[in-house]
Amino acid sequence: MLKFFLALRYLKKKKIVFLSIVAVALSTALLVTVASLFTAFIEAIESSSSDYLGDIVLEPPAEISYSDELVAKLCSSKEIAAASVVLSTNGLIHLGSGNVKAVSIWGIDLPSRCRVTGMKNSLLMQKNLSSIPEFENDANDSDIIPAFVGIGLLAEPDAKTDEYDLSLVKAFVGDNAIITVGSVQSDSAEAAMSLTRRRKDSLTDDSFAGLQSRSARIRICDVVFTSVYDIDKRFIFVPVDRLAAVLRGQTQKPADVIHIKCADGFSPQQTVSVVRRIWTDFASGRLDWPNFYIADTEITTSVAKQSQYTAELRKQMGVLLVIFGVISAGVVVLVFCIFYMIVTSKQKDLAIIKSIGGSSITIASIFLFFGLFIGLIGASVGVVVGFAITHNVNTIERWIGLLFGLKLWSSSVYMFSRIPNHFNWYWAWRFFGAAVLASVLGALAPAITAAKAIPAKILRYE
Amino acid sequence: MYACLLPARFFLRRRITILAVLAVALCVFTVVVVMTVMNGLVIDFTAKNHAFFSDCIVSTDSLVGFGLYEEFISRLEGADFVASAAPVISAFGLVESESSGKNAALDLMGIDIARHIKTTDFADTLYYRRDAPILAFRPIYDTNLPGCIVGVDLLVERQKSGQYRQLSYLPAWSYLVTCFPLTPKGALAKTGTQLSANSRTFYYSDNSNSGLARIDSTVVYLPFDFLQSLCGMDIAGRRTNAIFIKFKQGSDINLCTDKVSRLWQDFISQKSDFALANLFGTVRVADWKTYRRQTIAPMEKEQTMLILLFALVGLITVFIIFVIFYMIISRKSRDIGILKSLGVSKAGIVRVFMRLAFLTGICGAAVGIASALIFLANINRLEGWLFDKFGFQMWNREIYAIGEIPHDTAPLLLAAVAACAVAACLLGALLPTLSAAGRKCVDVLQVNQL
Repeated sequence: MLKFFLALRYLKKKKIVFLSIVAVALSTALLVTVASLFTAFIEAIESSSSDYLGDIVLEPPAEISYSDELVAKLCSSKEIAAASVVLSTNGLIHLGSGNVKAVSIWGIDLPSRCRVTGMKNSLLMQKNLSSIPEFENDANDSDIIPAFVGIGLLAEPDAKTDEYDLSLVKAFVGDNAIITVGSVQSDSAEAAMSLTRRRKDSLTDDSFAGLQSRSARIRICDVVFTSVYDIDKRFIFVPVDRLAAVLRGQTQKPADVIHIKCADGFSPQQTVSVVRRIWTDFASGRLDWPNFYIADTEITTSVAKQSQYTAELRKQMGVLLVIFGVISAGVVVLVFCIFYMIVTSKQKDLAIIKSIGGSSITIASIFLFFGLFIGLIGASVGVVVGFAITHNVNTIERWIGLLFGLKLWSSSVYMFSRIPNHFNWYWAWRFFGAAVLASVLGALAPAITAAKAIPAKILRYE
Repeated sequence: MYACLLPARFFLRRRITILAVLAVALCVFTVVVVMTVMNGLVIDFTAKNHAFFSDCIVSTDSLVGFGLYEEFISRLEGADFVASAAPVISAFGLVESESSGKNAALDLMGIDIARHIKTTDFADTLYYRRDAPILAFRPIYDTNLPGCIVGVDLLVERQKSGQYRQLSYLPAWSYLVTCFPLTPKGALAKTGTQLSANSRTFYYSDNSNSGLARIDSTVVYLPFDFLQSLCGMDIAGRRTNAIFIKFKQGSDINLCTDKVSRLWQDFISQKSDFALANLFGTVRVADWKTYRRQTIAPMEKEQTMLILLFALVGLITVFIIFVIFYMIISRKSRDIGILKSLGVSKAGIVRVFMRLAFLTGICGAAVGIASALIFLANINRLEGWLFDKFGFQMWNREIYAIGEIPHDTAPLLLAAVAACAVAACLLGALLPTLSAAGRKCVDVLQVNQL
């Protein structure tokens, strides 16, 4: 009881102690904020990857035909909720006077894509519809391909606010544009597939005939706004059969990627093996592919696809935390100095406690509890401040912009239109613990010194 | 005399000052290392941008471009401050490998190689034709074929060590390049969906490693005339998107850019009756740093943010100094009392302890800077060792366009950090010193206080 009482009393009476509380809070807040913002950014990358690619991505080494049959087989498995095909290519788009952009064009099956990914939520015009969104065909000209165009292709975000002028963007809906894509003309799906296989295998083969560019007119029937700058700036989505017709001159449901969503209760990591089994059966049975070709297929979770990049980010976060952590270790020194000072000035008190029967452990405990209190209070304040900063980081960034004219966050540089601000409790608890430990550690040496106090020497009259 | 002797004596006798010196040294060490690396990255990046984009750029964002550029270049070359100028076309194109069939929508850059290598450091970025850059668009295997130079990251694999796995021979790869030809009004030059694009085959003649990741992974360089024709920039008068200008050595870039701007204004006012004069409206003149502001600014902002974070952490060092001085002064109250009773003024006491703080700051800074210099001198060797033993790299060279970790320290940075360290010490020691100076010797030297 005496230990608690004295520790609390010292806490109340010694104003200098607040300095150590401030230092502990400052270090904890800094470390917690840095860790939270970094992990939130990494999580945002992984989550946008899942939103955009589904849970699992199946990428064969060559284009496949009869992709609708593969999708049906995948969907019949209880582990898989939905699957959707993608036929991808690159091209150019002419959006109007002098407005040419380089684009990635994805042929998609819209209903299944909406089941696999959050595509509907990213469509500016159709996201609020209760029904499944659709590509609206031009009633007057069936040759025009309906398309969803990334918002970044139509406008640039405002340099100061980093926001798009949505009314300007929506005005593009209904406009026509022209795309040009690389095309391989062939008579059948199998021939096209074998050609593609050959193309993907070699870098140095002799040139082959049939490679040409083809153009097509598209109609912008909706705008895609995912808040991920690189997607919004680069992508156009068209119906898969229409793109296949432009690329190959036939509509045999070719695809070069399948995106898969797992059923509830099944993790992507578990489901990868199921997808591989179904794919192997399909490729060997229906496509008659050789084993080495089937094995060359990449089947991975969408999160794992980003792993090289996210691993780098995690490493950088680690390095930054180590740097700040080393400097924050100064807290130990600070607590040590303050406690040493208190111990020195309270020698007589300690001697009196000892002379009335207090043990050395009791004396040491007073200062260890004192250190613990400082750690607990400082770390709690630090976590609260860290939470407040992380949670309001977008508001803070906006205010800095307003006050100093400094735009710190830009989607064109950092990918997302808003700073990911999810507070990471895992790191918060770790730093909370570390701060408390550092405070107790700082108090250890003064506590030992205090415990060694000899009352006979200190309380001598002379 | 006492004001010199006492600080030195306190500094050497009080072991607690070692703690203060170490705290300052640790902070200085971290700041010097991090800021040197960060500064090095920013300086390297800006220097590469400068080398790539020359000193001044007359350009338009419009893909339609502007005309009469040759006439303006002649005027520029007549100016006494211009060393050389070169026209550059920027466009988007679909590039398809005729050997692998892979395609990509990329940035195309049309350059007049003879003038471009005089104006920029482009020649240094080449691999196969570095010694004869004028022949960069002539493939070694057949110099009659139209060549293309490809950004190094588009073709060559980068190893974990940061080195590119260049082939010892130049492979005979060909690429079909497709562009939308645009009229001066920006409309497609060819009508009908089947015929709206221009295509032409180019042969791989070299690769370019500018050290700018975004450029090396997205740009294909083509001969100026060919790209001009592919983009329709030869319809109704030849056009370009930009003119890169190199000033004579020793010129003030800002001053010369202003001169170019005036030259341009004079030029367009004289050419107001030109058929495509409306295209001059979007053209702007900028020095290289302004031209690349959007790319360079984020790195500079990150540097500022880091400095702010360190300033925040540096506060803890101020706290430590404060507490240590508080301790020293509380233990030295009798000495202060004796000094005052001997006639030392308040200012004298302040001088003693501020000099002690100065000594602590200087020693801390010296120890921190010395250890940082030793660490930086060996940082790449240390990273190499960590990579060999544990596979750890500070930056994965397959992802980041970084070569060596920058380790050249700027004397100005060292001086600034040392000054900040001393200032932090003086700031931390200020309150305890003032409280010491305010003590009265009759209070301190009372028998019950001894």
